[in-house]
Amino acid sequence: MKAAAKKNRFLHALYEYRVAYAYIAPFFLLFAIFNLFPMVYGFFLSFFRWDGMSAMHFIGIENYVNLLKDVLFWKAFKNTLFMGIIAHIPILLGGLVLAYILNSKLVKGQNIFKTIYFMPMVTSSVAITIIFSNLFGYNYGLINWFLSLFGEAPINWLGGDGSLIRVAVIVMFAWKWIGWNMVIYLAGMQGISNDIYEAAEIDGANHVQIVFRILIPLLKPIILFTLIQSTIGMFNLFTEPFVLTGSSWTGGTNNGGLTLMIYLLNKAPQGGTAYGYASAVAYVITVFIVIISFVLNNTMTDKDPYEGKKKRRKSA
Amino acid sequence: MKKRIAGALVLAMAASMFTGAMIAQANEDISGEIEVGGWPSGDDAFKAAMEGFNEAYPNIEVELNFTDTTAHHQALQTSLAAGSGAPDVAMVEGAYIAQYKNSPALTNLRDFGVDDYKDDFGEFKWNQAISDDGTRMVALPWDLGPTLFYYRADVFEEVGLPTAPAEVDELMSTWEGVLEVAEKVSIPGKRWFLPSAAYPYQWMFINRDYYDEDLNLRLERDGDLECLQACLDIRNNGWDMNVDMWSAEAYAAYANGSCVCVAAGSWFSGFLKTDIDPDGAGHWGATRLPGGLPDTNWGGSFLVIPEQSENKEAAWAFVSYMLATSKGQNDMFRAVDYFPAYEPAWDDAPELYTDLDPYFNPAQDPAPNAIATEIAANVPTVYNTIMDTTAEGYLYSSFNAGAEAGETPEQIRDRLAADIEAACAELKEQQIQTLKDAGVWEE
Amino acid sequence: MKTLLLLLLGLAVLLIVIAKVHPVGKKISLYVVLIIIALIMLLPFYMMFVMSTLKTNEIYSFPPIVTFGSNLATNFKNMNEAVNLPRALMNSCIVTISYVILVLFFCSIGGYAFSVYDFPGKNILFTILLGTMMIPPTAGMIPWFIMMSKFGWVNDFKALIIPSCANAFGIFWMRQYCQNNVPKALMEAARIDGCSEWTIFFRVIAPILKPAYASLGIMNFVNQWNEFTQALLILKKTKYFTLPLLLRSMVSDRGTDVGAMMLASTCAVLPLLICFLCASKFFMDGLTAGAVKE
Repeated sequence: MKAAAKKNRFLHALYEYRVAYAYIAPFFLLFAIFNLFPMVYGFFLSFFRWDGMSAMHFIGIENYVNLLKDVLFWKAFKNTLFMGIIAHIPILLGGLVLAYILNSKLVKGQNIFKTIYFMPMVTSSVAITIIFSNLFGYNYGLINWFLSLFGEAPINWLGGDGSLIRVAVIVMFAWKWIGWNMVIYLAGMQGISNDIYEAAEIDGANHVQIVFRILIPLLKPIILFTLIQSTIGMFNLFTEPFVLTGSSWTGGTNNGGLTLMIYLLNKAPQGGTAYGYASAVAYVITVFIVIISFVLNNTMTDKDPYEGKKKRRKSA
Repeated sequence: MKKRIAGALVLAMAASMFTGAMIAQANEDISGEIEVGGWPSGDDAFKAAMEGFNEAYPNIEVELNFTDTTAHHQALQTSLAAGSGAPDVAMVEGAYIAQYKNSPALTNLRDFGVDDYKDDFGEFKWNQAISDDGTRMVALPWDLGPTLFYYRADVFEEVGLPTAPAEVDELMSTWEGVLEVAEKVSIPGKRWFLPSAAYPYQWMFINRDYYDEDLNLRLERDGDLECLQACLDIRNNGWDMNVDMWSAEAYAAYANGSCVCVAAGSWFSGFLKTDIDPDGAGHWGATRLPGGLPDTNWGGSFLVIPEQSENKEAAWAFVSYMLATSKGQNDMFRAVDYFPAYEPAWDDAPELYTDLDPYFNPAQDPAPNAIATEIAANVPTVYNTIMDTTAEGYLYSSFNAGAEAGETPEQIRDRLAADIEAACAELKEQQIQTLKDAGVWEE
Repeated sequence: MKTLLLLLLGLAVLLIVIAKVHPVGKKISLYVVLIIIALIMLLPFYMMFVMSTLKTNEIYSFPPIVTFGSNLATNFKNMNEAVNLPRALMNSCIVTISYVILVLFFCSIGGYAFSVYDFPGKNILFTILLGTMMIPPTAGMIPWFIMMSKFGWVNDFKALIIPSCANAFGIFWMRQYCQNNVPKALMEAARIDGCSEWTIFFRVIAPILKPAYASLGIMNFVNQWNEFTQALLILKKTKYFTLPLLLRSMVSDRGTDVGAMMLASTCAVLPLLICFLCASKFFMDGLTAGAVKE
């Protein structure tokens, strides 16, 4: 009886709020069909050895074990993390500073600058990577030519011992994302009342203090939002390092530009046919992203209980 | 089991008699539309031979769908895994054939009597397409890649080196000779001997025989350390561009004479003529690999028919016409320099193979294709695995890493072995699984 | 390297000194910094335009050519011989426009519902929705592809349009905007007038959401216009190629005609750039007014 009553109540609620449920239904339906199902199936695959064509062989957690033992996987992990962390310095700080300058009414023509800084978001990565590989070219590159004007020997950015590939990737990553972050921060800053700046200036605070003491704390939820977004972007880093290293699955010399996504796609479906193994890699990467998002979320929202609550709602 | 094989044989024989009859005159019984997928310039080749095909099979319509090599293989692989979306006939590059030779997702060409053609194809190429248990053959060889050493004869002449293939061959038959040439043609920062110093070492492995049948990595071979030492000398003297030979940068350098030498399969002649250096008649010469390296093969493609094709008969008609008739093969050879794996084609139009090629330097006698014909006869049969392409990637990057770290040839070889083993671990497991499934693997 | 670093350091010191000396100096230094950054941002675009007017061997020459060349017509001819750009442009338009329309529709009703209605399970559902944003799409790529082929959606634009047309980010975005900009009083008034919920949304709410539509629309437009990974798996026939696939297909082992390719890239980016420049103000307003504002 109780169950029936519960069911009844459920149906009743469903009916009463049918409009709201109908409005949000498309997302959940499409997600279940096109994302959830493949993900569950991918999880299932990750326990098999399967080349995509012949018979599947159940091997338990062997894929996960092999993967965690693979030195290349950890190299890729380190590279991804390294590039991600370094690239976040310009895109976070640079984005903030640019947003602050454009918001401060110190300069005119904000709209022009905003538009120019945002333009890289609008480009196709295939084309832009080819341009960057020209800019960073060893024998004919624009950057090496610029260096030669100062009497420098050419630098083998994309070759050499492989470490400079990361510089090129970071430059591309920052180039693309700095404008995006700036716009988001600008949006946040315009929500902060001018009185706060004025009060701070009267108290004798300089710009650096205003940015670090006032703006960053107030913008925390927004910063968190951009951080999580660019973290996901960082774990998905593929086209840039791949094309810069001449479409090589090794990620260049010493695996310098090997990212997790190159590692994954090299196993399947682009480079190889290790479908089960690749599914396991995808799951481990997902776990990394969830952990990092969780840590970011917690370190940035634990101070003030009131603020914390407010922000958790938005960033979750 | 035996019975089934016998049954298949009878069927195959019947089918082969049937196909044998088909070739003779126009066959109007087979009809329909087929889609053929691959990468350029396979499309140019097919277009060149299409007229003949249409005469032989007036009722088959062919749609060509071509994209770049990597995208093509990826699309093919995913659609085979998914069970739909593949073309009726697909090109497969030699480097990838090991991934496909055991695939149940591809049609066994023996059902169409492919064995009738066995004697018409070189053994090493034929064997690459046979499954590990020996029962199936899923691909028919299209072309060979007898490896040639291409050099800018105009630059050689400029610096006072000989330009005739025999003389160049003689001069560069030792590594000392190679280094001497490298030094002469190079101008630091302006002109380089090779795109990358890693390549002479790669030439030793270019037939992709990294593993033996017990899947042991075997990198050690005659003269490998001397070869590596020569590579290091080239690098340390700044005689190479230090870029990938397939990069746009290197291509521009081939065309404008700032990268003087490069080696590749003889299909590279076609690359030079139509894409890399189309205005460069007279620039180039070609001969055997330098440094006393043995004759070898570099790539060459196959055609396969996916099991999901709905018109396999027409697909096979296409494959057998294009690859196993002299007219089909030679029409394509003339258009794009894909050296026919089908040997009767060589005798059918000998002038294609022996006549001097006006694109090459006047001193180029014998013609590149005549040299290629000789090389083709000497290529040994090798054992291919799914690890080959990955291993090949490391030949380039591990050499660069070792050279950068100032290592000795032995250290570079050890580094390479370690890198390949690490990168191929999972692939090797998969290869073992495949061999187990085929019943030819013993622990 | 030293001279270069010294020069950069000198420039920085100079700017700081100028800024300290006089209030006008401060402005000058700020402008200098902003303009330098703007130039860096524009450089790759500029190089793309320049390269589309050069021959391949001019692109690979030293010192590099940084001014417009005279090979535009030839590149244009070669591009048209190699690929069917108008076709790809049309394909990209079909995919992108239909995708954006669906996204705007589904995300706005979803975000609106999460913002204004109180219904059982709302918080949990919203948390789930946010959680899905963290999952990288690659986790289910193979099964997703297998599914698409079972649906018969290989070589079909539907596969690029339908699966993600109601996406979590869009709903989140719209909800934030509604939260800040939809007055409940207005809805109440409309309800009293006897409007159905559906009419309220279309007549009353949708017009208010315009700026949010603009910003979300542009973001999704950009993403879909440049979508590569899924398109590569799904669209195999050249006649279905979208612009990123077309560009990729111009990169070839046989030698890339870099000039023609850059011209094609320019053609792919230009429509977007023009749209963006025209709608830039609207777009920025939408971003500012909506979303992440607390």
